[in-house]
Amino acid sequence: MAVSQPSVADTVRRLVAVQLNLNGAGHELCPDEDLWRLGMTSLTCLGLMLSIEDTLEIEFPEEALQDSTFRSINTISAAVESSRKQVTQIAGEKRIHPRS
Amino acid sequence: MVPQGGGLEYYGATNRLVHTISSVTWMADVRFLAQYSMQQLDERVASHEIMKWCSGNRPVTLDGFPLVGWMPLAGLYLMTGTYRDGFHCAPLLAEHVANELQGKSGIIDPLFQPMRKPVATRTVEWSIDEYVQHSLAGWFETGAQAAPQMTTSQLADYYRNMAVQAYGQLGADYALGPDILLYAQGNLHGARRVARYLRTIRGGGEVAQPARSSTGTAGAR
Repeated sequence: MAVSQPSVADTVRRLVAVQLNLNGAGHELCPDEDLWRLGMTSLTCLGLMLSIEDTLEIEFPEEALQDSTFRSINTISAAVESSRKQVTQIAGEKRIHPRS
Repeated sequence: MVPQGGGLEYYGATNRLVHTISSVTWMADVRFLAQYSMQQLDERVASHEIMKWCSGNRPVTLDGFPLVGWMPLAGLYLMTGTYRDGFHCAPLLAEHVANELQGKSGIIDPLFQPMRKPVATRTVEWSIDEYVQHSLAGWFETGAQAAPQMTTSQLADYYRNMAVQAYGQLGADYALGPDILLYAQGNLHGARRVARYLRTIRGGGEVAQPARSSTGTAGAR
């Protein structure tokens, strides 16, 4: 029986809950909830960014490394998807132009 | 302040670690140099004429030491990362590099060869103490004001807590200099560069070179 992979949003939600110490707090995190208003600091945001990149094996593009990217589960998930698309696109271009 | 002869003086420099090359002079840098040169060096600076603003970049390595030596790629020699010491080390470094480029023996320790792991000169505890001291110095230099009942000890505790948290979030066990620690905890670009580099060396990975950042500078003559 195949085990389904958690979605990006589910993984992000789990990592956010760890960083913001929401586990056990009885707080149901909404996808568009403002994480900064929930007490995220620049330091916890830093840890969240590193844990997302490690767990999802992605690299946020330089332009995504700003506070607004980490505002909510939705914005983070969108940035993850965007960085994955960029990687796929670059890989595709390299297949077409292997010397570039 | 460096006297330059002919009635000219050089004032500098600012020290702001950035992740991209920048040659912009910020108003904050102008204020910093103008205000503190008057307050700390010579109040008559107020009536000195500004002849020229200079801005540029000084390369800095993660461990604060320069990178000097041959790279694995044939014919590629590196001499960079001198940070604040490039000016006064220039004669020594120039002689060393000239020797090595001619196939002769260098005159400085091979400690700074570019493919090294970062040089360790302090413990994490020491690093945190340094960070606290530098932060407090910056606090008082800039005339920052806390609530009247807040003590210096409480301010120190605040900065110490920030440093401890930063080490925790970065997963770092290499002791960083205070300015690099501030760079790593102050923005996401810095955090990622430092964390990834430290992970590479911890994992025994190939070290290309210490993570670099550069520091914007401004000066006036």
